[in-house]
Amino acid sequence: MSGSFGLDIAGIRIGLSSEGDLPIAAAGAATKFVAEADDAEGPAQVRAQVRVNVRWGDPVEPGANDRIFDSGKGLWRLYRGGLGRRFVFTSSLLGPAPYQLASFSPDFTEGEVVLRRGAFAGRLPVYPLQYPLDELLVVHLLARGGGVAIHGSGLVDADGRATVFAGQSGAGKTTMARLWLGQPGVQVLSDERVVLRQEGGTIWMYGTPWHGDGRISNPGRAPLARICLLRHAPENQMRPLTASQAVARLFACCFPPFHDAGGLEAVLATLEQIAARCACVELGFVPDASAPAFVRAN
Amino acid sequence: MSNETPPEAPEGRKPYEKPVLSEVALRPEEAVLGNCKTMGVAGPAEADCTSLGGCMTFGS
Repeated sequence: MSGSFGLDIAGIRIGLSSEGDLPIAAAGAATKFVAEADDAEGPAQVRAQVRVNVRWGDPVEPGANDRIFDSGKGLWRLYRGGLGRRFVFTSSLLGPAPYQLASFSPDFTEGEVVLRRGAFAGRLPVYPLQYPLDELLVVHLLARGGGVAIHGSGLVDADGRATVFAGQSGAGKTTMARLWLGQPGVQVLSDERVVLRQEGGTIWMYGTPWHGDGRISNPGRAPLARICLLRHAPENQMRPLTASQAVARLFACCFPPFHDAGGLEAVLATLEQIAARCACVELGFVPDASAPAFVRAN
Repeated sequence: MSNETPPEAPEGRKPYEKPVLSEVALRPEEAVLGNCKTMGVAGPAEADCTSLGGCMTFGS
């Protein structure tokens, strides 16, 4: 039994199809990001910018000479070869053999995912882009298309404009997202990751499937009004950041392709555009109901 | 005679500001998507994950 489905993450449409007896489907929060099939593309097919074929096989770790990048902690590594670039994934719970190998063309528009059948026994259907592959793929595509993934929670306020609360682990992203839940007219799109894309003269914030402890994850987008770099504080306070401060702080909580000089340069250029077009402030906040009121009043 | 007040900036130009060195902390393990938020692993063996076959635990 094979299958196909599509995803729409931050405006990037990814079409997946499998071969042989490999059922595939979205899982977890990714189910909210399934793209509707486009009749013109045939049954259950989406008009996709990225095509990924999925099959069972024997994913093998390439030789160290071809290694470009190692994420550390044994989770994933990047190699030359295959269609252009190969990501290899291992898990401490599955032993040293890779459970997944994903090969992509240099522009990341064509891909093949090879899965080790034994690693997925009893866990069908398979979500072939399971974390971190889905985010790695989107990060590389964004770097080629005026976008960047940000470590931040994000909401759309009643006026239809978006605010991002950015920060590293422990800064208060999920806390802030929870404080906004239930505020009149507010939709929280994520408590952990948002995507920012420059389209025309507007910076758009998109929700993503990659949630945090709050498990808040919604598709949707809105024009970005403000970015708040979070820190905990004894009282609510806000300080404007210069463009250079904002770019530096945002770079520390974004997800660029570190192994790709062109991609890094593109991400920095996108951050410069964001800092030039949107208000960027440092927000010290008290984790109670006073924080949303303070943000709205300032 | 010394003059401790900096000269006024010509009209239309921003006043001079002394360079300031500031440090921004980086967390490479978060930035490279190199770890799992709750269990330190990813992939299909996440016994406690709510979405088996689709790890949803992220690196921060």
